[in-house]
Amino acid sequence: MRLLVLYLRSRRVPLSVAAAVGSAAALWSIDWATQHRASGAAALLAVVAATLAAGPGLAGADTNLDRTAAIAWLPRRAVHAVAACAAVIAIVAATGLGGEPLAPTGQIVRDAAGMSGLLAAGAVGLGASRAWIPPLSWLMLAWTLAVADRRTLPETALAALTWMLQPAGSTSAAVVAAVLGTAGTLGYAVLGPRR
Amino acid sequence: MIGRILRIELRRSNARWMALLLLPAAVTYGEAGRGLTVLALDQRQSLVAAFPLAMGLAAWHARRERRSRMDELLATTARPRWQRMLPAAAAPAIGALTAYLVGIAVAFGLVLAAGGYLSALAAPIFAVGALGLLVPVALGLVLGRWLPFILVPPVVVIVFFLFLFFGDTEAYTEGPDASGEPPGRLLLWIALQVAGTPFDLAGVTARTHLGQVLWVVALVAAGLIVFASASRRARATSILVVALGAAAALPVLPDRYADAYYLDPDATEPVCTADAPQVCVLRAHRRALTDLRQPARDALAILAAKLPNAPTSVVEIPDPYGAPLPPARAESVYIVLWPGGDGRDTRPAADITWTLLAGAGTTGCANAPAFGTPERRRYETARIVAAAWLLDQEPPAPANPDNPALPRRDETLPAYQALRAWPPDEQRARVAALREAELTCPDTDRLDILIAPR
Repeated sequence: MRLLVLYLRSRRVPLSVAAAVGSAAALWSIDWATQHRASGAAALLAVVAATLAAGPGLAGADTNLDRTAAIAWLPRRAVHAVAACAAVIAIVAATGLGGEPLAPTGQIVRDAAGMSGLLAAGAVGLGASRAWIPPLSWLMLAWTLAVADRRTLPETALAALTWMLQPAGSTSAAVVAAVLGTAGTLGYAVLGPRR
Repeated sequence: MIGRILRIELRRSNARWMALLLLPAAVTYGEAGRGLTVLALDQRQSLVAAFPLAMGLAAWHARRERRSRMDELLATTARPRWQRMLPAAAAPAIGALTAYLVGIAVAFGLVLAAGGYLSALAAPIFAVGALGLLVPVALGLVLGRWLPFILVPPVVVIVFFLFLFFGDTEAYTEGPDASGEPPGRLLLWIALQVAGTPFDLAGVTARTHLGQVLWVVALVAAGLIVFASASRRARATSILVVALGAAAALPVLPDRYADAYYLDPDATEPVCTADAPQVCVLRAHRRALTDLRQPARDALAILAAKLPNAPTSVVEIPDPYGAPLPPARAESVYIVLWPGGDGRDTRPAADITWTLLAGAGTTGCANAPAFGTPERRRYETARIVAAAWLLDQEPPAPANPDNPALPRRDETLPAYQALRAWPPDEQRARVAALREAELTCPDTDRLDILIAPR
């Protein structure tokens, strides 16, 4: 138990949780104040913000020192990534306690899984402090495609590229998010954050 | 010296990342056949999505000195802060502009390849957009300098996305508080966007461009002052700069959002066939001339064979977007074309012929009964029956059966049969009378002209 507390503190998890809860609460109140004009957008942004808050915690203060430790990092990293994703889902879904939830739970789970996968991939490729770049870049790409809707892309390709903006029931969006989540988490568990 | 710093900055900073990551938003691959202005305005719209990321990356760039705990050491150097910081600010700006230039080049190439209309009016739209892209870069640098914490860049991006989702013109045109008329000051909103018009024929007015440029320059200058100056007093002047920019920009902007546009006289100049009978389209739609030529000549031949004082040319007019069409003239038939993404008309040739012959080759009167009234249905029925008589075909079912404004087949068919029941000379005289009425626009019932006993 003591080790767990020390681990969480070394990864600055209390700060991340505070940031995630704060952003979810802020977005919930904005959504409430604007009479649910853009609940889907608020839910998506709450998921993205909470996911990004977990980014700095994907690596310790000194990655090289961590790697010299004679402990099995692979399962620990896997548990860390999955637990972070679960925490994001729990925090955003908890907005439902204040009345209307921001989005259906399925949509929150899908967005959190995909975004967490991208975040983990960013930690592997760019380092934990720049892990936010892949999720936000994909969000920007999807938003670009959604704003200018007169594009000449086939329907499934468009749904796959804009997976986080699709309605809850979309199969191709769910598949893309599941693949991203699995691949990102596996890659992070096996390779670890960039040195 | 500054040049050398800049070279090193470009090599060692995240300028390349900036260029690469903004590329998806900067490259527009829309409906190139409709012309360069369409792509330029599309790009302005999609560029908005690049603003948050540009701001986050610039904030990331600005916090590097504090991150490596160098800021106090560097503050002791003799060289003034702005000499170090301006090249440092130029690197992400150059990165962002590179992505934008690639986007412009791609748009230009696409329009060239598709044979769309290359309007010179797209150039200032691109130029103001490029300046606008510097705003998030400058603001991101400021934020990164003053809040050099690890979570600040992503938080900046999220907050900016919030503005995008909640701060658009839809609040003015949709929802319970809609006043229907977005004010002109929205043109200064982060998007700096100009949208919702007959794009392919539109130019953006000089006043709009000027107002946006004044505002953008003020914001960028204020951002650079705060980022690059060392003294508190110099930083305080940035507030003055922003206030001056707003004061200069607001009076220049048009009062209404919609007034940001005008019809481009070059794009609307007619392009005609060389041989008679003349068929003309707007220059921006010249690819659609291929689709109009044959139906137009068929329609003119039918009118000449069946009616006295038949028109001799077909002329495309700009879509007035809900406003009444200009009154028809006796010598030409007017038509509004619907060019698609490839610049060609989206309707089959037979539909174009029907449209041309509606009301015996007229566009309809401005004083026609209001939509939704029974009188309007009789009016539309009369126009369709006239076209059906000219084509010797029964009136077709409405193109969109769910549209309650269109006359149904059980309204048009009996009227058509009633017209056909008269002797041939009487039929001809009645359709000619309908055409005459549609040209002079008296306040009479058109269906009575065709079928009422006299």
